[in-house]
Amino acid sequence: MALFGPDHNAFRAHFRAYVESEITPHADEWEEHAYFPRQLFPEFGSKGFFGLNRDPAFGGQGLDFGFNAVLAEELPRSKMMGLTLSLLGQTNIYTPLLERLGTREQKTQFLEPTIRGQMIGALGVTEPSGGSDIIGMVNTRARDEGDFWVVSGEKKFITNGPVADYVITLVRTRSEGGPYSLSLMVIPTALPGFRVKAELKKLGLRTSPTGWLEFEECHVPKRMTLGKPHLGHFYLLQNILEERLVGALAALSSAKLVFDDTVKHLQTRHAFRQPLSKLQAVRHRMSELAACYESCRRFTYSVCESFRDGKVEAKEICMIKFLVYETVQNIIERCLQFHGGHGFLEENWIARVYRDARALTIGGGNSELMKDLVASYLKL
Amino acid sequence: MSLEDVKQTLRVLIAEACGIDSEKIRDETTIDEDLQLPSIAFVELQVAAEEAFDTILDPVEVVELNKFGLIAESIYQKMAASTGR
Repeated sequence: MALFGPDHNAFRAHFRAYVESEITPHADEWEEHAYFPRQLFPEFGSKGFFGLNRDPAFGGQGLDFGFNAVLAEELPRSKMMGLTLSLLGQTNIYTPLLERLGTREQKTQFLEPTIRGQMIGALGVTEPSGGSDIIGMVNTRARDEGDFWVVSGEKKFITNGPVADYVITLVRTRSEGGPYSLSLMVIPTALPGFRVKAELKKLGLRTSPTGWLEFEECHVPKRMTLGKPHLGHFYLLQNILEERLVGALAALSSAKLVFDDTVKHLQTRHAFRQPLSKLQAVRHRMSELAACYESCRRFTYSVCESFRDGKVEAKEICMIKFLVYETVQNIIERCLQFHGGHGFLEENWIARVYRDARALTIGGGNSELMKDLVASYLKL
Repeated sequence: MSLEDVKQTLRVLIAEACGIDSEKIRDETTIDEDLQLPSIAFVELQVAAEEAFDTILDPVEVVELNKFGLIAESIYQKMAASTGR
């Protein structure tokens, strides 16, 4: 069955109209001031956008994954990739972990208010020492003290970290045991010992706050352990697949918006007594980009359909993480070139997307790591 | 394929992934403490299990079940469900 049917298309029209009328008009101002619009979260929550494919028992809509795919594809129309990332964090980064692994108490305390947009979460995995070698680099540790874990350490590059009400944190709970030594726990940021060490200044994604977080002797009740103790590494590897898939949809959508803008520009801009769109070198290059986009889009949709049907194609999602994300960067870079000097101006949103897209092949598992993983699937 | 066939095949796959003698793997053998199956071995195991059993082996399910006998039983049940037996 196709990813989208009439109901998805109706939702797309409704959501697109909302984004274009209520969010996009603020893009230039919010981007210029690196403003994070927290007030959007309860608004999204009240409209049901955060819980499209979440359990109705906890405030979700119980719809299929296709609706979430629509959300991911339409959010880039805000012309703010940073805000898109922060909002998708709320739908596809930490809420799936709470839904799959959470106890009833954890779901009531954190999942429900997150779906309502009354709480913002974050996922704390990467540390100042790195993020790719998860098993080796986690230095945030928990000491076992009866009913509590006493957590100390630091997490860095955490999306929504500076504004989060809780951080689902990967913590070393055993000194030995390799992949069986890490646990996930939900840590409310109001706990004594937690602090935002810094809000990081970045090259792009300026409407998404990124944090450097510190935990100093945080007493976390053991009932806040998410899933079984010591299996956090495996839970994360499973969860990140959804994040990568949804990210690909948003990235492709951004590339398409840039591409369409570029087509208009090429049709109206003249050189050598003709529109740029009539120059053969330009025509060929745009055709190549269109073919790359279309092949990536169809590949991603196919994997999304499997995902919706409960079949998680891990190898293909790793392929998407480097192939699609690198293709998107290439499309945006080429399109910026066709805009000439105007593409280099801060006032042109394409310049902003160009900066923002640089993060695509770094966060959530860099391209090099993904290629290595795919090679393992190929038995190399 | 019978449950015993599943166990025998899975035993060989895990033994290859861990580099140990398959005869040492029993129903009570655990993935984490007894075998200490490394993270990357799960990829190898996933690919091999999909080929052998024509079913997806979810790493989270494997580590949550942990005991060899329970993992084999789960694969057997999935195969039975998919073939309608």
